[in-house]
Amino acid sequence: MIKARFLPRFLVASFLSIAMSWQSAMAATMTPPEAARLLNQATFGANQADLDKAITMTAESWVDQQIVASGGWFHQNSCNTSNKNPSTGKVDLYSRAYTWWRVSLYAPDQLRQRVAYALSQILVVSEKNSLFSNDGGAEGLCMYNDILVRNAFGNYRTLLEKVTLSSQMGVYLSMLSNDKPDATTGRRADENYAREFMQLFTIGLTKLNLDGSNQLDANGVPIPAYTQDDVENLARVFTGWSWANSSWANGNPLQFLQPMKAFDDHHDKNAKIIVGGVSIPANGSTTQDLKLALDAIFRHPNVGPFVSKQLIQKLVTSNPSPAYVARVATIFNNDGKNVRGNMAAVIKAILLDPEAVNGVAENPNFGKAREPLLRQTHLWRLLKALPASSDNRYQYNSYNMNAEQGQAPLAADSVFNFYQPDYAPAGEIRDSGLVAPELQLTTDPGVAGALNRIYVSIYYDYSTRSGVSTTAIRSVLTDLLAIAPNTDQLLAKLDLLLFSGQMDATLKSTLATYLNSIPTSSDKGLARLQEALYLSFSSPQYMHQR
Amino acid sequence: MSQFSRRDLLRAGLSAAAGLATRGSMLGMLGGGLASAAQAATGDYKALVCVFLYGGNDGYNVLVPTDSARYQTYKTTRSSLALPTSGLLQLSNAAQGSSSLSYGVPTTMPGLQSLYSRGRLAFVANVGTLVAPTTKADFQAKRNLPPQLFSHNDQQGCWMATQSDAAQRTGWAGRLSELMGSVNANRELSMNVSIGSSNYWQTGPQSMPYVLGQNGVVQFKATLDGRASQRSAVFNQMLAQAQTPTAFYTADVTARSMSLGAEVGQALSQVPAFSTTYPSSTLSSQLQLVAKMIAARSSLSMSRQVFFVSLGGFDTHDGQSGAQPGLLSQVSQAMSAFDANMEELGLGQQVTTFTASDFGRSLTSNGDGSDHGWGNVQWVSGGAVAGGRVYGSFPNQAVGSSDDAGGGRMIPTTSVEQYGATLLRWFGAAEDDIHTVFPNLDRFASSDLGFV
Repeated sequence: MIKARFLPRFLVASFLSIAMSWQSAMAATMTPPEAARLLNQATFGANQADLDKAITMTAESWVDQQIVASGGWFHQNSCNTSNKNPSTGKVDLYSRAYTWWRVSLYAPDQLRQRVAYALSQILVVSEKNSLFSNDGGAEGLCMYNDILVRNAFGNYRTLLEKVTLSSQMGVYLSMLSNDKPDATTGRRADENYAREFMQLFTIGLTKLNLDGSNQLDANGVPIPAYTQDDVENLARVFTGWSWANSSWANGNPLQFLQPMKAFDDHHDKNAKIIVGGVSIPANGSTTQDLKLALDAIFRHPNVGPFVSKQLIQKLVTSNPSPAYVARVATIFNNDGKNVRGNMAAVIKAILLDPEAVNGVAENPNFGKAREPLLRQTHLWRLLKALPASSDNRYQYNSYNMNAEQGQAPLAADSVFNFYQPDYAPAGEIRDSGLVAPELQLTTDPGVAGALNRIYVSIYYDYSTRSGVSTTAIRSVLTDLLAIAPNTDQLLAKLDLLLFSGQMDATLKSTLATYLNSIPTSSDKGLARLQEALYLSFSSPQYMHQR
Repeated sequence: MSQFSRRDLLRAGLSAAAGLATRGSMLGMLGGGLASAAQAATGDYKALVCVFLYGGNDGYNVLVPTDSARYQTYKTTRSSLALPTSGLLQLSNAAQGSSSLSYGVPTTMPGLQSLYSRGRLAFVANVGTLVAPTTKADFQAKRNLPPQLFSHNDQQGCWMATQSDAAQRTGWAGRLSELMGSVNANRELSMNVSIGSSNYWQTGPQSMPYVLGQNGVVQFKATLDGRASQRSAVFNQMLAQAQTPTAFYTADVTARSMSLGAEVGQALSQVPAFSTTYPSSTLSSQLQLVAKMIAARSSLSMSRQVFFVSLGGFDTHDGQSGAQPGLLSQVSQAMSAFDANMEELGLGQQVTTFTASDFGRSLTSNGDGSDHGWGNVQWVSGGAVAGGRVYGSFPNQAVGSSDDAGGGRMIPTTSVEQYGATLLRWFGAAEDDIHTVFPNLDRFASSDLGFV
């Protein structure tokens, strides 16, 4: 039954038959491998419970259901109700980290949370700015995460404004307390947010075609999308915002839980001409000018391909075809109801695109490298991980393990994220003109650290081990232990949930031979299961999500 | 090398040795070592250490003119960012000759002052990314400018790659290692070692740097438990079965991390304790780790090494007066300790350390910080340095001067190529190789600035 629907996918060669196969597949409920592939693209990792539900749906109905689902799992609320530091009674950076893991592992609105995580790697703020260690800073970061969660399926224009005016972004890229220029002292407006807003959040450096490729000048050179002058003018637009206190630049208290407040006295009221020659007339208010500028930049033709391509890369494939980018960017530009920036429509277009569905059959370079954070969420979702103590979910380990695995939510080194969208390591990948952003974390210590985190979760931090640390998130091995004595059954399950049914036959037989050599009589299959899990999660094939 | 021959090599190595220890590292050496560089003589050793200041260090608040005319210009342009004369340590003028020009460094950097006065540190003024010598008229006409000036990642890329081949994403240390890596008897360990994370500077056409964790080698827990030997045989088979470029790269790095981790970890564990003490800081612990690698050079069979350490936080758009002094203090202390450590090892003449950064910053203030600029001040330290002097041309810091691209963004008068070529020549690179590494070098007046 499965094979009858699945096999022809690999045999068809023409685009037409692929398109037909795609259409018939889209109309049918998903096969288990199809469901697993979608879950691995669109959640924090496929597990059995989600798979059982997904195979009763078509891909489209699964996405639709996820878009309307509201789990009500918001980070700020969750932190406050469950994860305060028990000794200080406050939300701190440990609380925030653990809340992120709990929400990401268990929230039923997985797609929303997963898209919010992807957005957190585009609209980057990071706890590595030391100001977030102050009272309110950690809760502020939870609130920032919630902006991404709440607006994941909203409009990108709205999201841009919420992010721009958040005190977290204000702190992180120093738009907060950006004062109007002063000719007598020579003071200029702070260019930080203006530059990164265009370079990283909306337009990108160069003029783009709809399909995400660079527009080239007569000499074949990419054309810059904006000038230093544009940066300086936008910097002046972004003056006049500060902490939500009664006076300008007054951080007492640090109002991390309020958006920034406009102070017209500190706003540059002169006329500005921003990117694309758009005029912001003189004497506008702080708020009016900001809205005009956001409207204009949001309408820039780069935004659709720029944002669409990055979201495709973070969910589905590092090297989407230009046609795939163009199809999604077209939806970004107009969702069919004359709405620009409809993120629900964009996400749906990304996940249901023929290339997302059929790419694995067509292209050996389809897919993306799995980053450490998503491997760890996958492991723990598969193993239904638990907090060590149900009445105290404030867990140091979830914070400290970040140093070990080299990646943590809202903890990039800079606004340039953990890795860059055009990163390509030396050798075959770069020589083929491909990119593999997540592989920027694949370094000698990075590989070892991330695999060690996986190792500890499998061999030490499991719920039935006597002496398991009380501050650890614990794996629960029970379900898989039941099938561990049957190697074929165990590998079939790992093949489906980890590899979306694509585990290479050679890999499977290598693992089977080894696993069958491990007796299960004395430990009820524990060692065999642990070996199966560790080797599967550390296999190079698993690293390449397809 | 084609993907198939590389894969075949990996497989051959794996099946022949049933392990990874004897396999040549694809990421390190196999792509290079083909040029004519001769095996270095026993005892011949040199290392270059790059201290990269991520974010764009405000170098014009590290080297400040103190003669009255230029200090007044500095003070006027820098406004709220200007360091008061009481915040400066005067640099000795002895080596500079009869010049009436004088300089200071911030009081947070006594280590730099001391190295300078002992002739072990030189500054290079107004160095930056250039396609060719560039005037203000060129800048205004957008003639021959590096792409995406003032953008962090692009300008980091230009510094590390140098302009001509930024598109290929290879760095000058990466290209160098493939030309002269064969001087090292060790064919597993790359000439290039980075602490913490990878970088473009040490990425070559076919090679990546070997990366150490902040605290040294990270060993795989799965190689240390009771089942390790049975598991590793399966693990190695699994690595050899990689089918896609992403899986293959992962397998390659994993294999290298395991085999070199064991070798380097062993060598580091045998390094005797230093008497030099380092302050507790991120940069100090990185440089201390570099010192240990250097001390282990014989057991690792290395005669030429290039190291990369880094510190972030220099993107001081706001709160610069609060943030930069602490960072500079850390740099000064760490570089001083490292210099003393090299002297202790008797390698003062053989190790040269230099700084680099994304770009300089605007001299003008945005209230409490500075924005992205271009030309910058860098410094070089070590026993081989002809120190106590400022090299290059110190720019006119007046707003609107012929050095000002606007807002006090200095147009560089010395290129990264010139800075790099001077370092590589000292390192022992052949003239041909220097020109291969820096194909645009001949566009600039001098390929040897003389500071080392």
